[in-house]
This record gives sequence, structure tokens and C-alpha cells, in this order.
Amino acid sequence: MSTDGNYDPNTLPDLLPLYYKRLFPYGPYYRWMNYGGVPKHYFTNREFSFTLKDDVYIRYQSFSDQQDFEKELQKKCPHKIDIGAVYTHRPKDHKTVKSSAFVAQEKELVFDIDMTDYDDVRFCCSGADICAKCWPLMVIAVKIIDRTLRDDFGFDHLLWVYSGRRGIHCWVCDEGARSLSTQGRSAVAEYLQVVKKHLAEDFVGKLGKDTASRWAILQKRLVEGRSMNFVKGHIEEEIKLQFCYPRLDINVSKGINHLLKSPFCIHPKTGRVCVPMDPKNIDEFDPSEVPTISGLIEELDSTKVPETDSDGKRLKGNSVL
Amino acid sequence: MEFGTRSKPRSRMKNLPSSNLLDENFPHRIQLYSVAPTDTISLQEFEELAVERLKVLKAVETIGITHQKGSAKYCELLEKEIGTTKLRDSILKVNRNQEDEGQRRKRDQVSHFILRLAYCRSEDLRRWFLTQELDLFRFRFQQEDKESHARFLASNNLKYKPVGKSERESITSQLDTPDCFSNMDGVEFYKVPFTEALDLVRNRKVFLQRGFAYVPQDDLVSILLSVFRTQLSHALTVSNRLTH
Repeated sequence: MSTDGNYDPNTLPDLLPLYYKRLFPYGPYYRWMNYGGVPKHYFTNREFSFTLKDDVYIRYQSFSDQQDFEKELQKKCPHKIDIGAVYTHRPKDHKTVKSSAFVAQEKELVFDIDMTDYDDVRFCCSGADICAKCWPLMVIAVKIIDRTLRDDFGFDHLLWVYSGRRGIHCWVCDEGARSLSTQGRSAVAEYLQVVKKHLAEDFVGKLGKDTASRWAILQKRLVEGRSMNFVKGHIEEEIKLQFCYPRLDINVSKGINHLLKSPFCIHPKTGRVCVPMDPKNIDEFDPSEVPTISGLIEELDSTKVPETDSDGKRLKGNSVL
Repeated sequence: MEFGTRSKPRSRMKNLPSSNLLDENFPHRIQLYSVAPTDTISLQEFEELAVERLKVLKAVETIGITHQKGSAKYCELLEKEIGTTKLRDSILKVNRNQEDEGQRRKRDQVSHFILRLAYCRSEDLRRWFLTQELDLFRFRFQQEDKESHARFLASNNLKYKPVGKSERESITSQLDTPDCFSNMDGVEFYKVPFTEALDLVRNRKVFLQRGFAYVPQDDLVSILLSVFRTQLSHALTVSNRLTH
């Protein structure tokens, strides 16, 4: 069943109030952000930023509890929500505090993989588009990064999210990750960054009729080259690495006060919800099946779900919360 | 800094019995400077210690620019330069009688803390001081032998445990390139939280598992530098806030 209700970006301002009233999962979201109330003030000192209509951007939003958060979201209906760091004081009061005393203290360790960083190795799409041919690059990124963060770094609480258009994010929520220094964050990101230079060598040329046949031709050539001693080393592996290895933006991971798009907000261009993905079943995730706000509202109206459910509709891709 | 007239320094410190100092406060020749000195000294001594340590740090800086750090030539030159200062007995490894060892280590500590006050004032000054002190630490540490290294770890409560035999076997079997170590048997590995081995982690120069870095003994100094850097950096920031 497709949930793509033929989304029209112009309808967003009308749909958002309904989304924030009936669908946004305030309960699980607050439970996540509050981290069990330990330490205290973790939620109240968290910075959120909103992008309102007409691209008005407001920072240093903070809330006293779940109710306050709900009320503000329903009142302001932000087109985009970003999550920032937990500060020493309530962000909304930051102007009353001496600037040297208002400091970002903790935040999840985050990673952002953007499909546009693979433009030199994908030929099906470019820019903001994605399709079934290039989506596997994201699947590879999830598998490699997920395994490294768990096996090498010992992190356990990872939230993987689809951004709604061309990227994926990973939120590492372990206590050790949240209290990591800037140096620690950049060290983890640099450890992951095996491929830095992007070789856009057009080795494929005009051979073959599709990717599969081109790869077969290349492999055959490599075997020939090896037998004649022209070819040495691990060229196949090198090519695979250069083309497929995850490409991270280190600057996103480095900064403790960096603001990253929040899960469960709506992507204004595609209308898709920024949904969690299950890394253990990442092969089954299909970005074209992700619910859109228009599709969801349509479903709600047609089934007449009672309005008391503040936890919101269960969205595709099991939430790991 | 304002200083009094230069006359022969008469230090109160010389009155303290050496043996006490050694055992309690300075269990090792090399320090992490985590404890500040609490006694009083004369202005003359204050000035002398500051000036002499600055000479040492300047030597570290200059020689580090023209020679590769850790190379034989670097060590030789640095030792010579430091040897011309009045802190030579406190900094360099020389055969010395144990009697005055406590005093020597005390001068090392006090001179470091005096310069901290001077160099905490701005980001540039802090960065300079941190860099030279780190290089000095590395130089001194690498002059020590394995046994001395182990004593240093113990006396600073650094719980870097050498990895036990069975764990070691399971680790070394996962190291894909055995030609890194021609003889793995002699190599001691230390299990350290990855956050304390960031330089090794960022360059993928160490094996990681479940958040721990398995550091071969030759890379131990890298870990210690990391610890030292974090501590000193934090201390400088605190000093700055307290004094300004």
C-alpha cells in the first residue's frame, strides 16, 4: 500500500497543524530526550531550533517538559526541527547568562551521510534524487558504520534515521558518546573515514550495456592483466572501496553544539517523515515506501482514528526507542 | 612579572627533608603536575625558576623546529641545551645521588606551576605552553626504560593493565598484518579506553574492540601524552578563570 498521497509542498502549512496535533510521537520522543530524568535538567537544557514558514529560523528553543514541548510545536508548527546540545543553562534563557558561562556540555554523537557526496560514482541520479539503483550505497554505509560503532567502539544505543530525501543520520546515544569531547568525536569520525579523496576516474568508459556487464568486463580484463603481470595489487578491492565506502561529513560529527535534523519532522520538499530505520533489517528498508504527511493525513481521515492517541501512529520501520 | 633585586637566592625549600619529598610527593622523576605546590618561596627563587624553565621550553621549541622529534640528534642537542640551564638536574636523567633528588623534583614541579600562571592568560600562550610541555614530557619519558615506565603508570594510578595471555592471543590473531611486529611475543599490550588513545584511534594505528584500544608498549607514550594534554589543558583554562 503506497502512502505517497501525491504530496504537494504548498499544502504543508495546512497539513502540519494536523500532524503535530495527532501524529507526532510526543511520548517516545520525550522519553528519548529525557534519558530517564538522569541527569536532571537534561531535557530543559536541550537546545532545539525551528525553521518556521518563509524560512524564518529561530535558535535556542527549550522546553520545561513534554507538555510544554507539545504546546509549542502545535502553536508554532515548525517546518523543520533541529536538535542541538544540552547546555549549562536553559537555552531560552541564554541571554540572561554571561556568554562565557553558557556552554554546550553534551550531545549525542551523530553521523550524516548525504547521497550528493556520491555524485561522482552514481550515474542514475544526481543532486537531491535517489532511486533503487543508488540506495544500496546508503545500505552499505549503514552496515559498515553500524558494525564499526558497535564492535570497535563498544556503542550500543544507535538510532538510525532516514532524512526524508537524500540522506541518513545516525544518533549514538550511549552515555559515553554523549559526553565525548570534540577531539573524541573527530577521532571517531576520522577512524571511520577510510576513503577521503574521491577518485572519479571514469574507468567504465563506454563499454558494456549496463553496470553488471561493465563490471564483468573489468574483472575479465583484470584477470588478463594479472596473468601478463601488468596488474598488481588489490585493484578490485580498491575500486570497490573507492566507490562504495561510506562518505561522511566530518564537520557534522565534530561539533558538540552542531544542530541536526530531528527524527519525526517532515521533509518540506518530499513530505516524507524522517523515520527511524532498523539497521538489522536495513536490506528491507525502502525509502519510496516511507510515509508522507499527506498520505498519513489521508489515512487518518479515512479510518477515523480517535484523537486520544498521543503516542502517534506507528510509522514504517520499527522505532528503536 | 615584577622581581626583586638579584641576590643569592635563599630558598625556604632547602629546609625540607629530601626523603619525605621523594616518597610522598614525587614517587617518580617524571611528573604529570597534577598536584600544585603549597609552600612559599622567595621572589628571587620564583624568578630564577621561571626564567630557567622558560629557557628549557624555548630549547624544546627551537630544537623541535630544526630536528625530528625523538631522533638521536634531537635528543642529543636538547640534552645539551637543557644542560646549560640551572634546571638541568631536575629535567635531565643524570646519575645522581639520592640525597637531593627530592629537591630536584620539587624544582621541576614549582617551575612548571610558575609558568602555568604566566601562560594561562590567552589562547595563544596556553597553546604554546602546552605544546612545549608535551614535547618535553615525551623527550623525558622516552629516556626511561620499561621498568621505569611501569613504575610511572603505577605511581600515577593509571590503570592501564597489560593484557593477559589468553586475551592477547585472541587479539593478536585478529591483527591482520603480523609483519607489524616481527616478534609479537615480546610485545606487551595495554588495554586502554579508546578515549585515552585518540591520536592512535584517529590514524587507525591501534586495534579497537568494544571501546578499548589495545596499545603496544611502544605506543604507550602516545596514551600518556593524551592524558597529560587533557589534564594540562583543563588546568590552564581553570587557572585563567581563577586569576582573571
